[in-house]
Amino acid sequence: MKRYLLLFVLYLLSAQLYAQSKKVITGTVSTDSSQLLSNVTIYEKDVPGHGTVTNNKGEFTLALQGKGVLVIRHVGFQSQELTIGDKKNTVNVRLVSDSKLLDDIVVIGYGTKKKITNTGAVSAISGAELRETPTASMQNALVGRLPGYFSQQRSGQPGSDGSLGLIRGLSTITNDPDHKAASPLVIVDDLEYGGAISEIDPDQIENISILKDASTTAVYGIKGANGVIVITTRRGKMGRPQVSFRSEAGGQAPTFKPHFLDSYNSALLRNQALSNDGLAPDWTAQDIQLFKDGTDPYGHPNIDWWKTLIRPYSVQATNTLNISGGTEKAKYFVSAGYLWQNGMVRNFADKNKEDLNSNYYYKRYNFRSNLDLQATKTLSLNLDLSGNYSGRNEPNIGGRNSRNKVLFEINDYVQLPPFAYQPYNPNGTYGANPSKFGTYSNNVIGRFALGGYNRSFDNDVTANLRATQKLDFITKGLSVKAVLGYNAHFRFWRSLTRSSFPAFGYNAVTKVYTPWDPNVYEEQQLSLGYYADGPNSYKKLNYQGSVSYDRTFGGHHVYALGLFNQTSNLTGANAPIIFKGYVGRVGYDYKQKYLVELNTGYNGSSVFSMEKRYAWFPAVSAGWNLGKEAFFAKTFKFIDQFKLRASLGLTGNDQLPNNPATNSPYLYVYQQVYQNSGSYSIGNVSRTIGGIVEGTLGTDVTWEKERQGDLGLDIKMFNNKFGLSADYFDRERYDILITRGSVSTILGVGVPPVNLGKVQNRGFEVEATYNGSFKQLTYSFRGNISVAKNKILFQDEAQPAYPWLAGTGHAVGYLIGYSYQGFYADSTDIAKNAKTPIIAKPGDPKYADLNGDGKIDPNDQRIMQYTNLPTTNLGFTTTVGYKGIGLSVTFQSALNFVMRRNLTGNYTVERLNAWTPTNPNPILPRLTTVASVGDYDSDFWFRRMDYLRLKTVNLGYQLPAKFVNKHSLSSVRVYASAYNLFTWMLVQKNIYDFDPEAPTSTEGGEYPVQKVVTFGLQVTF
Amino acid sequence: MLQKIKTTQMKYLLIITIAVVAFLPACRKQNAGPVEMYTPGRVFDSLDKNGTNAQLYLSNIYADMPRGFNRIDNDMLEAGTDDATPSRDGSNIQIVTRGNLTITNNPDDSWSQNYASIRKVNILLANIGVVPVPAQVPFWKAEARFLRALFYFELLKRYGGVPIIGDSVFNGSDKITMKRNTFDSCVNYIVNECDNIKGAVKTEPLAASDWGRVSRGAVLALRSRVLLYAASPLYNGGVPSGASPEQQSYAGYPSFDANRWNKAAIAANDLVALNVYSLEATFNNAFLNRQNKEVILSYLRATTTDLETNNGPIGYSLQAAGFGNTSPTQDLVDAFGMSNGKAITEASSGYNPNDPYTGRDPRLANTVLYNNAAWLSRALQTFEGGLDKPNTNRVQTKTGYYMRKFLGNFATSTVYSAQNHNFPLFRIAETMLNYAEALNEYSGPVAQVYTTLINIRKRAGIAAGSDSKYGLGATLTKDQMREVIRNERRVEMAFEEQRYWDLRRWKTAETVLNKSLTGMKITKNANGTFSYQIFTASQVTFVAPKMYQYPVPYTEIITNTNLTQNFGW
Repeated sequence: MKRYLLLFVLYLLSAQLYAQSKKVITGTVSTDSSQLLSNVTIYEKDVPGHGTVTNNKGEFTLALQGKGVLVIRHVGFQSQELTIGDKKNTVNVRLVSDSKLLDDIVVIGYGTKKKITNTGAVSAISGAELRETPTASMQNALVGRLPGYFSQQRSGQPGSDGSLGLIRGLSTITNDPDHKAASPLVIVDDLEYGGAISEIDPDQIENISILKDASTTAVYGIKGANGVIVITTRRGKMGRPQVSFRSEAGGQAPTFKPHFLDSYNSALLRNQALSNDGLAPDWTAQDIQLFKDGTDPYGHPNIDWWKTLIRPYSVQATNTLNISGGTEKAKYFVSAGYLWQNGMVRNFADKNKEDLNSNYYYKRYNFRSNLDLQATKTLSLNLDLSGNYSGRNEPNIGGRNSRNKVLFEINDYVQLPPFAYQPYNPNGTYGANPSKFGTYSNNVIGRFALGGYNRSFDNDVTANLRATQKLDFITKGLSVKAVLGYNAHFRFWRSLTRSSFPAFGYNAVTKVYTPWDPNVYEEQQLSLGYYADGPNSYKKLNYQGSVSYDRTFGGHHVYALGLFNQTSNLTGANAPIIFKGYVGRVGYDYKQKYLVELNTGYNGSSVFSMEKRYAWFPAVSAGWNLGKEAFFAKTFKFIDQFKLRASLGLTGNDQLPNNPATNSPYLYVYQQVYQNSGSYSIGNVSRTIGGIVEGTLGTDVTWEKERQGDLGLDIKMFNNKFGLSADYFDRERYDILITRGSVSTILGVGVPPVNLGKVQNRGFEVEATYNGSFKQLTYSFRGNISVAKNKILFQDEAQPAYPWLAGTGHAVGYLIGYSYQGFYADSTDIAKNAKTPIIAKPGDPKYADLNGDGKIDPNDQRIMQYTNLPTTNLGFTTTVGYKGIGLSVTFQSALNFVMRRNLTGNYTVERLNAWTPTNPNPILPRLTTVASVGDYDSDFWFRRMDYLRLKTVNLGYQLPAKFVNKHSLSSVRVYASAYNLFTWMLVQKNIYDFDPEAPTSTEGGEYPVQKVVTFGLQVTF
Repeated sequence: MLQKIKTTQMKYLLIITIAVVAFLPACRKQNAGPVEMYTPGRVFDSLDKNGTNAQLYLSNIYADMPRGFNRIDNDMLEAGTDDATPSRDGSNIQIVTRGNLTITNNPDDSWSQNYASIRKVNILLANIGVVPVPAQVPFWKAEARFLRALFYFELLKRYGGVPIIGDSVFNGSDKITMKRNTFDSCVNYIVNECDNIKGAVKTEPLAASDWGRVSRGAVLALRSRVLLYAASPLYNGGVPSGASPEQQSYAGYPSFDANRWNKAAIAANDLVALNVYSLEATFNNAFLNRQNKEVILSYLRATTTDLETNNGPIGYSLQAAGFGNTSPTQDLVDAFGMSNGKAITEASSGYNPNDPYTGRDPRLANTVLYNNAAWLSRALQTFEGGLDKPNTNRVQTKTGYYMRKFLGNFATSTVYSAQNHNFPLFRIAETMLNYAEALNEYSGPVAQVYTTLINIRKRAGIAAGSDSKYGLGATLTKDQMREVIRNERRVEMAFEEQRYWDLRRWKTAETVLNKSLTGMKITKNANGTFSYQIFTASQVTFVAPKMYQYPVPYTEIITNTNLTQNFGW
């Protein structure tokens, strides 16, 4: 393998190989804190194939062949170029850490900026930090590390475990739990990215910035109001080819898993529940005894279905290979990666038969080739080609109403209680419960083994061509740039399914096998399904042309950008949605002291009618580097930088919320249309006549707009060791598309959506960093807090009967429920309290009669204090480095949110502590089998889910240079990393035994969020 | 190669490229809107010579007529009465039968749905004028107006008086603040509409291709039903005493007026006396034939097997298995008399509790599937542990009975085949019973009352008896006759969405729907005979007086503050 790589390298470089002089240079390489560095690559700039590496004392010797310009490169440090004079034979080089590079430059929309002169609100994370988190979906690594970034990971299903991210919380009224209309715009290398962020390989990423305020997002105009995630991919650096191989493998297991009870306890609780309802018990004392002693395993089984079906851990592995390098004329970064994420279900496939892999899984192949060509002295070309191919698998287990979810199955008391059936009969056939034929679905293991799968394949290809021409011949600092981007995504599905196979009930006394379904004699023939997924297949074509100018005259620095941008977006066979716009940016600073910048986007989208298609989105920002003022610098010597900044602007959002009536996007809202609907059959012989109905009333809708203000402060002190950055923001989104709630349905047609909603969103972010060192020990701390609180200012709500029912004034996504007041102790307690619609029984939750009318009815519900979206996110990262050992730990916490899940399935440990007359202070109300007062939404069930997580741990060891060099490698690092390792509940006990980020108020069955531990090896040569 | 192009050339090339990129797409036409959808002018179009689109529009309104089969969460509305109980626990109809109806939770709420249908009619009336089909447009208008009257009646029987919007078509920006109309004015509106259009709709006999359209008979049948309701105890002076005068005016007439019964009798007779509709010779034919003499208007549908699968017994092979959603009660079975016309409680009826299904009113076998009845080529097994009542967790009959009415004649088939399942909205038997009921209330059990009942019973297959009275007592009092008529209505029109409303308008729901409902527990004996035991199958609750009318939906009350809620809600 290594040999081939070397050959490849030689091939790449052969053109440049030639020899010249013979001068010998010796020297050392160290860090800026004088720590000697081994394994540093040193080569000649004009003879990139000729070079050496430092030894374990940081020393090197190199006989020059070229003109005497050395390039010194090392992972984690900025590259340096050094011109060797004629006389000099010894050099001592100090390398500056890479993270400082990131510190100095920020990536913003359509460009980069020096951090010192930046006036907007931006936070960023480097690709290296991103790669510390072993998650298959890279956005999961952002939370806790990027101030202002809020996220919730809803699922752990392989291929669908990417979290939903929001920048600065929610500012719009969205009625889908995924907040689609509030999701940020994603830009990858200047182009809008249509795919899921989770499909990008973190190994290809140089850095990620999130743009948070109007001054940075106004250039995106009607797409900018939700904030922007800007992803920059890695590019080749000058030097000999560097090959880096990373391999990582480990296991995943649920962060929380339900603890189901055995048959004996489940039967007892079932009888307890039935007796609470005044119903006859399901189980006799004899049954319960048999469950307890387990002497009748076929008649009275006791199965731990979790253990039977679920693996203790499932494998996750990634392998990536990167090659980068280049010359002045051409640089390259080539990357290929593979990810494998297996599911939690055990393998039941019958190796002797079709061997169907029906487990959940996700596999992904990524590739990227970024080429930079310096065509002429002034023209540079970037040719980027990237893509991924992924496959997701799901079992076809059917189950109750074809839910097809393993967790739903395991939790389903109706079909899979612990006493359902024995998985296998003594003769090896699939088991069933002979006394309960027709009660349960067919054998669950058989369904996993034989039911087949549903599999989706995604193919994504992006080609991105950029040309930048410097026009210094017209005037210095002027350049033009053209970008052409094409992104195509196709998804298709394959399914191989069957629905019936034989299973038998075994009677242990008579030794008779009875078929579960007498009409099924053999496994049904598999059936193949195959189709292309139109709505998930799209093409995006993006053109950009821009002129930019950047020049400094003495202390005056001026810069400007003018840009034209068009994206046409075709989904399936739909008409393209065309976005078109112009961007302008003008900025000025005086000696980096007084900063001012104007940004504007003028753009439109064909989603809207011709009359309401284009709009201006201006933003202004200003900054004052107080630290650069002489009086300040004199007074506060320990302060290195002190910058005040402010921005104000207008942005827009063209992602409209779903139509609540159809739960799909509004279609052609701006025009009144009639559509085909219904039919009636007429005549003595049926003659069906189709129907036409009024579709929408039609209103000329437009995009949402948001006024955003931001005040910020950036401080650095104690020799840049301590840094503080704080932002306060105040945003008001208006013209939000809502359905008017105050219109009577006597209108007779769906109320047309109108741009009337208004939401206020305020909050702040503070990030503090400290980098220190003690002898060979380096350490850093980084903590951040992000708060975003939103409030609906207007949503055209009908005046409710009582003020506490009004949602206006509460947060978006407010929940409604009753106020829990303890449990009913006994019948006298019930009699003296307000009457409930369903007759209450002792042990049911008691609710407050808010309107005091003596009955509990919907008028006594109120808006709950919290929603499902946390208002506060905390992150804390610390790193410690000692010699070759590096440790990085990130804690993350989300506060002020609630969740409700249903506790109606199989009996879990928590339900042992339900109310009974002898247990008046339980954690759960009485058990029941019928509709009860306890079912209602209330603040009893909406539990505070505030948590603290050990989000990421990364412990690595850089092998000593001595060892590494012996094998002609330049660096070897072994490491262990973990994701979501521990979670602590901060406020209330997690009675749902489910991850706090899981969706709320669903019927359950979501694939649990996973914690991941992996071990990795990274080799560079 | 790139290096070989001169720098200046390169510059121009690039500038040209950028210019093209910037301006070429600008020439491209951006999509203008929903070209694949009908615009309003296209639906009612002066060029539409055949009125094709207008007919499609009307067809959509027809499709809004009530369709009674398994309408509420896959249950028949009768599962909300004493005639049946839902086989599935927790189905939505139990919100009604358990007294859990609230202002926000009503499984039969149809407020917005009916107003949507009314709007469709008003749009048609306002625009149809331009359609150049003079031979049909007047009929279409009249049909649409009938449908509107029917939608108002659907509202009226649920909520009492509702706002009447006339011919208005509201805009999205209109503030709708109208008050409710009184019960009286709603009845008058519907009756007036019927009077105005009875001459404008097509008269019988309808052309075969028009079958399923509104005819003069349908108009008169609606008129008869509305007036019968208006004369009934709930509305005719039966308004709840605690209600405010305003609520009372929505709930009915404050005082009783016997003449309302007279009007109802005359209205029913108007249709019966036309002599265009008559009873089919065979009871079942009225439901299984698309076109017949008896049905005045039904919701016509293409042929299906959905009724069989939804309600059929569960024990058959996969192709013929039903879901058995509806469990008719023993109470309903007991309401059927014997084939001699006598009630099973009468001493001389000949009823044998140990052989309960022999010698019964032939309509019983056509309404309910009972144990041992022939079905799909075998005897039905609803005895305990039988194929059709296996007592597993699977949904199955809760009472020992399955619904038979409306299902095809499948006694000797092996699988279900697609059948006409047309929900009868109006059939002459109902109007005859309306007549008998109104006349008995107004004039007592006079001869015409007897004749009408005898006609119904004769067709049902009941023996004439030596006195040719078909089991009717010769000297019934008015009160006894009322009970006979009410029972006749129950058995003749079981599962036709009549009893649910009848129990309310008779104001008997508070007793009839506050009790336990029974089923039949059948045990198969070793010798192949069966033992029968009546047991309690479920419990129903009716909260009087508030449940006599549905609450106006909460969202309506808060969006239009001029609406007054019904009494008790």
